[in-house]
Amino acid sequence: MPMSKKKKTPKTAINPAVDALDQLRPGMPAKDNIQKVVKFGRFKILKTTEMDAYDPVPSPNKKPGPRT
Amino acid sequence: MPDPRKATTTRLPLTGATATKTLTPMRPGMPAIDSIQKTLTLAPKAGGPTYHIMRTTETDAYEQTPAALDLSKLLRTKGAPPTAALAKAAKKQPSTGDNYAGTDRKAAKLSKAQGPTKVFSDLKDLIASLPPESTMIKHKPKIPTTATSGRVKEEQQNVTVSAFLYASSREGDNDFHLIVGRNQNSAPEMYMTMEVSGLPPNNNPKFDFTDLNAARSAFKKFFGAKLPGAGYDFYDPPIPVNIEGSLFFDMTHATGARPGPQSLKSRMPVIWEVHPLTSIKLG
Repeated sequence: MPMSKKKKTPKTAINPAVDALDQLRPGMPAKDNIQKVVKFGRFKILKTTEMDAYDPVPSPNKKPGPRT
Repeated sequence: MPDPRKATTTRLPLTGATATKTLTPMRPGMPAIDSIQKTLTLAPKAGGPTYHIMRTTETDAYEQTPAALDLSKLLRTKGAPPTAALAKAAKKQPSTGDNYAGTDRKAAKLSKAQGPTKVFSDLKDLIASLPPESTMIKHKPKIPTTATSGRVKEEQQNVTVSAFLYASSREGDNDFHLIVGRNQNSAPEMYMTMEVSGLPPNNNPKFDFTDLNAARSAFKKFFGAKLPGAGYDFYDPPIPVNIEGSLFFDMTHATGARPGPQSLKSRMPVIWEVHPLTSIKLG
């Protein structure tokens, strides 16, 4: 059987961009909430999975409605 | 102008109820004020110090017990969640009895390390002494998460640490998760998970029933009827604690959500744990 060319996602991913952050700096999100790190000029944007606790869980097929 | 870090309140925004004690929401190690469902008083020893328990709706993000799911569902609502339903969900126990009910790395979790005991007077030094997460994730031999996964070389280390208990919860596998931190005046803030384990069978020589039972009994005796449930209980002031136990790397949570209450998780730099506890002195 030919080997699949699809790259496997490692079960235990180590993200160097996340590991390089100063996790204990005041105001940082929890490490496991960071989905990706985006460069923004001299800043970094930490895209997280955090949202307001009262917001309904977003459906993957639905666009988010206006914030209230 | 008054220092906002010293601001106080007695109103619990989640329910609109009044706390039994004036709270200082900006004190290091406090839960988010809107996660406090109710407050209780704890006086473990006659004539000794009195602590205040802040019973919260915070759970480990990955918990799937009906109790944890109920809490999370009730919060996803605009306005005030129904008070009675919230109280009922907070009361629900994620597990019963004292026996360990999990499987992941059971062999390691229920046995003591064979190495010497290192003494730490500051949690910061204990955390600094731990091998990096990346080394443990790529460990050779690989650390499996199966029930038979025993201690690897780096986990053959016992520790004693003097610190403070900030929060605890009861998990579905019958472990109590203790969130242990430094003195509240020490910077930087940091916390680590330490676990009072569910008990192994007492007739199996592979496990350390006697020590694990002693630690669990001491924890249960201190809190009496005020043991935590599925939601994290936070303590005010943080409770002085002296802990002995074995180092353990939580391979199960090396990827995905990690243990800890939302309010403190950003200051929990490692998924190393002290697990199991073999001795605990509280207060």
